Amino acid sequence: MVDQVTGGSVFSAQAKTRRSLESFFSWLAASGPKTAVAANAPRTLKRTGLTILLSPVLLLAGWFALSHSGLFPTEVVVPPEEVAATFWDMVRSGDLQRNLSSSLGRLAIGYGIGAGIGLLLGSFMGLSRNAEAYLHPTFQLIRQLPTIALIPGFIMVLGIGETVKIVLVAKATALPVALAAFEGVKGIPRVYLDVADIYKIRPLTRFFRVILPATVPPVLSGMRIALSRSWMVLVGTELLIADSGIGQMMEWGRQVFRIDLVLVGVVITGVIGFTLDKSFRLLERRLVRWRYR
Amino acid sequence: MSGGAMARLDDDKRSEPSHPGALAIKSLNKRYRMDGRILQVLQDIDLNILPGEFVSIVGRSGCGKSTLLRLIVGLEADYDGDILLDDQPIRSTSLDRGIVFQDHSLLPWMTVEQNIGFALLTLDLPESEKKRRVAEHIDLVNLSGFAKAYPRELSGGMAQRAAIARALVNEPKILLLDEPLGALDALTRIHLQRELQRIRTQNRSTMIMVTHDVEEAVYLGDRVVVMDANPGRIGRVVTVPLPHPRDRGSRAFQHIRDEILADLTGAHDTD
Ligand SMILES: Nc1ncnc2c1ncn2[C@@H]1O[C@H](COP(=O)(O)OP(=O)(O)OP(=O)(O)O)[C@@H](O)[C@H]1O
Ligand SMILES: [Mg+2]
Repeated sequence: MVDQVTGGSVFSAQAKTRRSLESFFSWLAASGPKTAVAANAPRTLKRTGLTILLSPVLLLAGWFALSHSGLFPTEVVVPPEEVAATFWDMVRSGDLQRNLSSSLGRLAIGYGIGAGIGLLLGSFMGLSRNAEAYLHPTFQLIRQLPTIALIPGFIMVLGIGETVKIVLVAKATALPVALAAFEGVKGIPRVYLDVADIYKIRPLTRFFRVILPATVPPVLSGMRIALSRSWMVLVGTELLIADSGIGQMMEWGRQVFRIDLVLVGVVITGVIGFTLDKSFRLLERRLVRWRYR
Repeated sequence: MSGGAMARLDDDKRSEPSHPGALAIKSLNKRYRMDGRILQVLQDIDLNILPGEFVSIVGRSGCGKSTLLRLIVGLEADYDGDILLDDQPIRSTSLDRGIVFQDHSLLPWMTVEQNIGFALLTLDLPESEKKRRVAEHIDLVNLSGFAKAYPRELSGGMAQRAAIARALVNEPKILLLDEPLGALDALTRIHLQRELQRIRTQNRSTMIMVTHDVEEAVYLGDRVVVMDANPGRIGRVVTVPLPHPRDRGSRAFQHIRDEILADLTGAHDTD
């Protein structure tokens, strides 16, 4: 009885998700550059929103088949429809929203702080040779350390409260952003600076009309990569230390052997990461329109 | 109103007896250091260019033509010898000296209009006058309709024309052109050669143009400098004593052209 009800709602929910996903992708495709895609698309494979859905659907089908094959107990390889049902239950109880908002809140604060610090430090290193000489080697060194490896040390210093998560996210953000800003400033094609010299452009104008626009594209890509990376770092941190959040939800699921909960977390993490990346790409297109028109 | 006053002021300046734009290059040497090795790019260049003169430079690829222009425009202060513009040594860039680079070098985040206006940013002119000049120069290079286009949306030739407009718009005393018409189709090329000739008579600015097209060099130049390579030096200076507008089909024109061509291709090589 209960199963039937859940089953029904799951399937209609799936259909709804599929429809909204499709429209999301067609919207994405429409807002992208109109030229290259159509011209380069292979004739045999018409690229539509459905084409992009092909591999996830295949993955889902494989998962479905495997879970029902009887090779593994369904508690271990939980069938996708059960995961979907759990997802739906969590949405209705509000658990998912609570966890999601606490994760996204941490991400927003940590990313904001990290990006700010990264931009300042990176441009400073790029503009001043002294700053470069003093800071760059250290930066390259710290970059080689996985953020996850810093967690034990950070916990000792900062405890296991909110601060440590935000600091870790900020660290995961600041480094790639700083290096992107540094390299963006360093890598400005010389000819642009020559042109500014020739027309005797004043320092402030030079900064806003030449240096800034020339560095914005690489810096934005750096910020996009940092966003995905810090999301992963956050979820990883929450797995280890948290009382709320997507990572904590997964860890709790593991402890009580609710693999379906863990899998909901996995899917949500992936979808959020994907959405953040795509949205950032769109933002890049908007801000750097001269590059894509 | 103010625009008119401006123009009169300019005319007054131009009619001064010591009309500016005289360039003197004396035993100029330029070396580049590359991974420990020293590359002599220019050797003992001596050249005097009169105010209002048009000098064409031809020479094979790599003989240092672009380097010479970069030095004259003031982008590189590290050289031996003297480069004097109206007796003043050149140590940095100046609004008196304009250049069209070999690659158009437009700023990709600015429209054609903004790119041309960029040359006027530091100039003390009323906004309306700047606008008028930009529009006028867009017309001059036949880009009306593309004022709001980004460099990405232009063909190579169109971008080069926009760059020419940018270099002309602030009316420099001396204009350096590095293969400015190389990327253009034959028709546009001839059109712009005429325009350059017209601008030059009108503005009486000194012009130095690097080109690989000997006919173009002879068509526009009062003199044609033929450069030799390795190290880059002046091989020969040919005076073109023909009145403007020149007839490309005339015997005198063709004679001069063929002589320079022979020089370049080494048909006359005796050493
Ligand atoms: N910044 C630099 N550093 C080192 N060597 C350079 C630099 N700029 C130019 N050179 C060298 O100087 C020489 C002359 O270069 P240049 O660009 O002036 O030649 P060019 O006559 O303009 O050639 P082209 O007709 O192909 O444009 C070349 O051998 C080049 O490798
Ligand atoms: Mg060159």
